[in-house]
Amino acid sequence: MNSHKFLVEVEDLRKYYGNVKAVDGVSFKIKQGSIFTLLGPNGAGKTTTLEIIEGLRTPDSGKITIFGRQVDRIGREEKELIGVSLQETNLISHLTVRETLSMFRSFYKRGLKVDDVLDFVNLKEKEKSYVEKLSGGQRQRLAIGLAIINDPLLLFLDEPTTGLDPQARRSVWDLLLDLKKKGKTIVLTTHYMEEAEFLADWVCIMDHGKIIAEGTPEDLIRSIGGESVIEVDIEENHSFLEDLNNMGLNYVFNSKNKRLVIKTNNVLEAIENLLKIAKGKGIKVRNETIRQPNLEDVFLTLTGRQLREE
Amino acid sequence: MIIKNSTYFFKSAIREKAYIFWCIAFPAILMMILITIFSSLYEVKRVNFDIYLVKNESGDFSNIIYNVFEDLSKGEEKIFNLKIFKDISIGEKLLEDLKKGKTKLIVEIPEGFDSLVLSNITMRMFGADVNPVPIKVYTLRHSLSSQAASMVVRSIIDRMNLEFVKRMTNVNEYKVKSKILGSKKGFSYVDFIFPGIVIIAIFFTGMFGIGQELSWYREGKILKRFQLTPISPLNFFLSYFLSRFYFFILQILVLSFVGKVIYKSSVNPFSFYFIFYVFLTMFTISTFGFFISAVAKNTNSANVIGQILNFPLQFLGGIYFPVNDVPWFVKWIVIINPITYLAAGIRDTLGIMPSPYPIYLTILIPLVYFLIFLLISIKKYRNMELT
Repeated sequence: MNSHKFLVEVEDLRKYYGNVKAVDGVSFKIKQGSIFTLLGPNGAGKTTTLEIIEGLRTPDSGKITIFGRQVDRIGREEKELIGVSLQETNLISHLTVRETLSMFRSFYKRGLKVDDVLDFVNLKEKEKSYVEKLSGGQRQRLAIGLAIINDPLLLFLDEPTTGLDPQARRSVWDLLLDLKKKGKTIVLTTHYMEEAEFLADWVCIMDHGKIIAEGTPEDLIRSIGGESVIEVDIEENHSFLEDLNNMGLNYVFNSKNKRLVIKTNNVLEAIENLLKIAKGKGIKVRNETIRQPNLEDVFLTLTGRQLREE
Repeated sequence: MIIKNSTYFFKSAIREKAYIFWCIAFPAILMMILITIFSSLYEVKRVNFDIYLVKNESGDFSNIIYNVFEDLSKGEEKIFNLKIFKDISIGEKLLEDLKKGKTKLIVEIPEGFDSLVLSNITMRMFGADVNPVPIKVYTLRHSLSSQAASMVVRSIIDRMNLEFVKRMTNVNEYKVKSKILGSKKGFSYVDFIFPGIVIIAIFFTGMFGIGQELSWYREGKILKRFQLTPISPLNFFLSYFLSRFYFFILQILVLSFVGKVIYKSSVNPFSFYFIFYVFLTMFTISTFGFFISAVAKNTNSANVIGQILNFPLQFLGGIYFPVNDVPWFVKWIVIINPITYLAAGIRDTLGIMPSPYPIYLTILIPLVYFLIFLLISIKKYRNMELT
């Protein structure tokens, strides 16, 4: 089983709910020992895709190969080898952290010692606390603890840092990097582009149930062109945007938040041209930012929307 | 693994204060309240009246009457607390005692009673039609106990008249044989309510406890989390049911302590019939809980479904009071209510109250409910996509 280069292979996966195409022909391969990330806004189909692979939902069509075996739905054998952390982590509230881990450990034939897991997720001090008394970050660390209690080969983590403060998020990231070092294969969904950029070896960007781009974070960012990005807030003005076009500026304007994003290899020239046109039209330019392009720009370029738009 | 997992579910339940209150403390408190309110209302106490007997004669006939009253005022089964007054006339003082309730009734054997009876008998022997010899009975018109005492005295005097007639004439007496079926002891509300409260405690844990908790497990994606592990659904549900089984046992122990030790119920919680019906109740009611969790969309709707089922099941199941004579428009709820049969069956087999239904029905109908709800729940959970 370990000899397979790809632990999971998904081909033309589809799941429709009436007219809603939750997953619409998704295909990808997950390399052993990598952090594979499904990046996309809420409702893109990331969780549905993950839950089909995890065996929680039945696909309408498509092919799933996991640990080298094609399955319609994973069985007990595969469940012994995977670990899962769901998007929401509710557990039996009046059990302690240790009891919860012990309970889940008893479900598997093999696995880690509860003490080792407590140490790994840094919850030793909280081992006697009831689950309901844990903070969001602690609860998320417990969820990861439960996901690794059987020492799985493959981990599915569905938005493991959503709702956490930056410090707690960072602590989860460190855990995931440690797991990667231990040779675990991690499948991660997120709508945080910085999370995907920081952790992922391979990113699939999903939107409306489809994968719209995939590659390493660096390749994806490079694919949109431009060494730098200039962001400004402006009022919507058609002739102004036309003038930007005429100037040959590569831009995306988000009419919802009135944010103009320009990709360029020559920052000074682009700013000079931008300000000249704005002045000529009497348009105020505010909140200027110059930065390196990121996955958010990739998504914006591909969809015209931002990842965390309402 | 089932036993080990069941201990985790049990630990979680036992640590929840609300769960402990509603499933253990509340039924015990309810039983205490009901016994306090209703035991005196339902309990048939031995009738025991205070009466005065004024005896102004000492002949044979008046002595017969006197002896009858005296016999009825002796021993454990006495009907009267008798106070004898001899050779006095009914005066203001005795009548004042009657008015004040010191006595419920005054019986006076008037002066000349014996000679009147003797002459009456002689006259009858010669075929004369004579008026009966009077015994005077004083009662208080608006006092129920006084009227009740007078009815008892009247029946005694009627019986004595009959005896006189029998001895003087050739009257054949026809005897009706009677046999007391069931317990000879009187109705005890403590015995009546104790098995009922045990059923209702199981009902709270089984229907509300299981229904709402499993709905929350579903809504809070806890079931989904279990589904991702190799544990089978059968293993999960058996573990969960076993944890509630421990809880049922705990409930029964607490209620048995209250019923047996505090209120001296004669029901033996270790008797076969008690245990049998308690088990039948556990299985039947638990499937109600599983059913609710399977059909409810979330915890709130599980609560609503539970409340809708609760009122007819609990109050029209004969738990708190007999429901045989309820009006026709609610009678059908009584008839289709499995609690009716469980309560009737357990009380009948324990000799507390005869069941209006055949005993086999008190087992069969809950079993039918058990099977129906179990099959629906299994089907619902099988087809459920936990999202």
